[in-house]
Amino acid sequence: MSELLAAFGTMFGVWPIFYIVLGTVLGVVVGAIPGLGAAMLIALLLPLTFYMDSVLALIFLVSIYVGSVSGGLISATLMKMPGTPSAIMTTLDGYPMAMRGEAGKALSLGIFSSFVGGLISWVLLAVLSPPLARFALRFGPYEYFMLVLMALLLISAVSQGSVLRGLIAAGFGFAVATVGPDVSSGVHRLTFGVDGLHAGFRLLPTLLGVFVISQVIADMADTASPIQQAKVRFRDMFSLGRGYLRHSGNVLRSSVIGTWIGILPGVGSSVAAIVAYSVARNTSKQPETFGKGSEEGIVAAETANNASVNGALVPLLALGIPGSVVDAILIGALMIHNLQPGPGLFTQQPDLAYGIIAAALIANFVMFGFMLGFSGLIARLCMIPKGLILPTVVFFCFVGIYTTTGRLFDIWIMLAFGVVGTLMRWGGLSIGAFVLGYILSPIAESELRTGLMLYDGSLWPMVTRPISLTFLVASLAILVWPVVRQRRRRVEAPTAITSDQQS
Amino acid sequence: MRRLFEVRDIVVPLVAVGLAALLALGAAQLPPARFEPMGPAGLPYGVALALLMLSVLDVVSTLLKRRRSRAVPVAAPQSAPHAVGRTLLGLAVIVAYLLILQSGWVGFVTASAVFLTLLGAVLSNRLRGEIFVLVAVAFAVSMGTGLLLTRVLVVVLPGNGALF
Amino acid sequence: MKPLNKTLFGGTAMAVALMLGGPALAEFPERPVEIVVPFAPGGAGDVFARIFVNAINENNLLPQPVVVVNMPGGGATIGSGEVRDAEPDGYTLLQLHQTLITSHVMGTSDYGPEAFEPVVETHHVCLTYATSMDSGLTSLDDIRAANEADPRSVKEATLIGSLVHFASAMLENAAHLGVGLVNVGGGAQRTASLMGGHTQTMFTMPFVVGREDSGLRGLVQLGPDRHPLLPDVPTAHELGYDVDACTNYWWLAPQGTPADRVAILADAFAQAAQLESVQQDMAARGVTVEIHTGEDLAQRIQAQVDAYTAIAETLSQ
Repeated sequence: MSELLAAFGTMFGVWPIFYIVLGTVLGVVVGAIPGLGAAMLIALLLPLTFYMDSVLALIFLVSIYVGSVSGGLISATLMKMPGTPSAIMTTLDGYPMAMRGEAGKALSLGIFSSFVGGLISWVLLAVLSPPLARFALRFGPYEYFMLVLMALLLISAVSQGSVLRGLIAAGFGFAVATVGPDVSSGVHRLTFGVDGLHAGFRLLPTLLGVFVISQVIADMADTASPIQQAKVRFRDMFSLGRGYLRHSGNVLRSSVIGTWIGILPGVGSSVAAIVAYSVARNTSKQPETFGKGSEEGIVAAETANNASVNGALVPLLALGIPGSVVDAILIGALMIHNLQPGPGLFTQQPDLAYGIIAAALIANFVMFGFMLGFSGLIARLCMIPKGLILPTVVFFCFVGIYTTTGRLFDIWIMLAFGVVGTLMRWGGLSIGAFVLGYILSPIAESELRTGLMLYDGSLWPMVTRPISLTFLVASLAILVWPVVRQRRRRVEAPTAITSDQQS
Repeated sequence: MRRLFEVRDIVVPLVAVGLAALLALGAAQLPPARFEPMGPAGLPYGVALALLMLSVLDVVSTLLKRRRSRAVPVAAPQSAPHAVGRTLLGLAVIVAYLLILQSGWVGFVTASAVFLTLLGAVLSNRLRGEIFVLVAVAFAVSMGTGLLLTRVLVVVLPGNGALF
Repeated sequence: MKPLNKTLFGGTAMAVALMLGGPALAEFPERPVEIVVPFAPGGAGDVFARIFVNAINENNLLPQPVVVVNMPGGGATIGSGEVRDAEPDGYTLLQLHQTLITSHVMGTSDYGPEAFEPVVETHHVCLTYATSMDSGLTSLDDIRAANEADPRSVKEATLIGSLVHFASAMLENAAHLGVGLVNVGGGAQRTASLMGGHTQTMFTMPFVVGREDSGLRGLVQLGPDRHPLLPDVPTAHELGYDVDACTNYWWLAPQGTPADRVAILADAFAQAAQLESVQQDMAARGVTVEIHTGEDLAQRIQAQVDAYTAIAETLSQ
């Protein structure tokens, strides 16, 4: 504890504060711009960190990470375009709320939830890192598989309208994800002789295509209206007040879920948001409002994705194992300075290990202050004419993909998915369900097959291992609960059912 | 007069079946399972089967719905023809930009500034005073990004690698 | 008289070339050299490459900067394919190791090292076979005994089709350990799997085992000598197994790159390798700096191709 306090002391110098503020602000900005993100920016800054002091370099990069996950909610809410992959769930409810004229409220809910999620997860990071990291390691392949299976059950929930069409859309997502290298056998699947597809349809081009480019296409057809009609009133941003307290259960739960999923190596902040959203919906009193501008949905998604950032730092600092893609690059930054990530970091470089933890908290406060303080300016985003904003968005998507993957082929993939997304909207296929299938199916498949290798082809450990069994039971509960609830309601309100049948 | 089917109610299951066929075709070329029972082909076959069943169910549900509801289906909002034209023009500008970057005819900043101006012009309703703002923003954004990528960060620009 | 003539002529030609903006007589390289690292940023190989690149840039060993471009995906085939198809002008290099061979013999790419012009090999790391401290295994004999009592009960975390999978087959062929392979994924995931007690052994880099509190125990070192970071870990040769499995880091140019340009690039890397700072940086990370160029390098690569092709036939479990 005293080392942590000492670390806070060293953070309040001119340079540490400068880098934390710069990093957080840069993070919020790249996070808010669809196409650009933390992974890209941190990777691009890696060569510069050669010339920086190791502590300053690391707190700079961590601050970018904290800022970017929060920035994504701005474009998700105002433009229906997730600024970062972790904000995909925020588009589901943020944009409908904005269309209702509650953009200010949606933004402030998101900003506040991001902040609180960051706070709660930070406490877990600072206090419980070593035991949490150890416990996370006990997750074997079947535990991961079951966890992802639970999240996949959300497909029916996000497929607005026909559940059947939702499942078809998810099937499309599964199909798209199978293209490319098969991690469990090393062979290339379904590339049909196209060498460029050896990397598969990657996250960034696919997501930017179906969410951003398809939205650009939709906006192009409808240039008469500005980006969105709703005006953000500045005072809306501060009108939350005590009303936020009723979300406290949701906030607490989503923070724990987000932190925990962040801790699990190889599962990112978008999955954290997906799972927290799904649990929030299934425990909500008004599950039918989800996807139509539910406050609870925004709160769950934004709390969880910010919580996952601190969660992902847990295995990085405690064990030297990256919790996410961004953390893998942070490990590279540590290695560049010849620092060994892992338990030794706390004893050998306490100023660095505790400095990172301290910076994560300060960056969270800076993010909160910056986003609230500039919310008036942010809100004006939706008054910029489309002729200025849409080309810029497309341009940054190009730049983001090119600088991340180093090739133009992935931009073709993005444009193709823009057309696919447009056709899916036309066909009534939910893009949310598609993306869920696309993100979750590769994890599910590879963990299942790893488990089959580990347990000599047996599925039994799924029910004999306690953690795995817990998830299985939880999944069944999620599946059955809506039916039970509906039954109960029918008993309570027999009039509703007759009107249902007539329509 | 009422159409027999909504076009999309035919297209969606058809596309699903086509995709299922493609998956099965690709899976058939994969090597057999070697290290665990599922193998690389397991998931593609599974997804193909699921899509096939889902599309059959989808057709059935469309038929059932048709029989049940007597009401005329709500027509999808028709976009005005000039909107479709504008969308296609916009897409053409985007594709042209990518092609020019790929060919390396002109530098990154030039190509980007022209792209931003052209797409902006396509998407603007009135183009009198705005055009100057448009050109200025286009040049500032592309110049700023180009300088940032080459001077601050070390990135080789797409195309011919040159700024202009 | 002659030298003066040459200088005069050269000077005039240079002026003409400058006026025309022609590159004909300008010194190579006259724009940044791109190094394609076919993996995501932050990995060990990426950091090693960046240390060299940074040394070249910092000491102006080339008149133009060298730039790292990460092109991950497809088991390194995206990046290698990009360089193979690049203009053979010396401005695009690939930084890769035996993965170039494994992807070819596994059939995921239809070319191997022969599709490239080798420029230089700068460094290598020999792999360590390790277990977790609490696995109860302290030697290869322990593993063999456990597997004889209960076949494939000792599980090895691996990445199917990659270098470590091949190393595993080499050790298996020599020492007959009988471990069960589990495809866990990349280096960090394998370490996590061992620490969580799901699997018991893995191949990794010596510095992963050697760092303080790593929780890992080295069982055998697959190189010609014991590793400086792991002085207590015997080599396979000491145990009577004729096995070597090292990662050799090669810088490769597209086929057809002019020999003089290859020589200029190779020279810059060789100079970087001489630098005290590079030697120290690499040694601290358990990496051996050793320069190989020209015919010597071509033979080394060919020897690896032969060895890996032979082992590929024995890969299935």
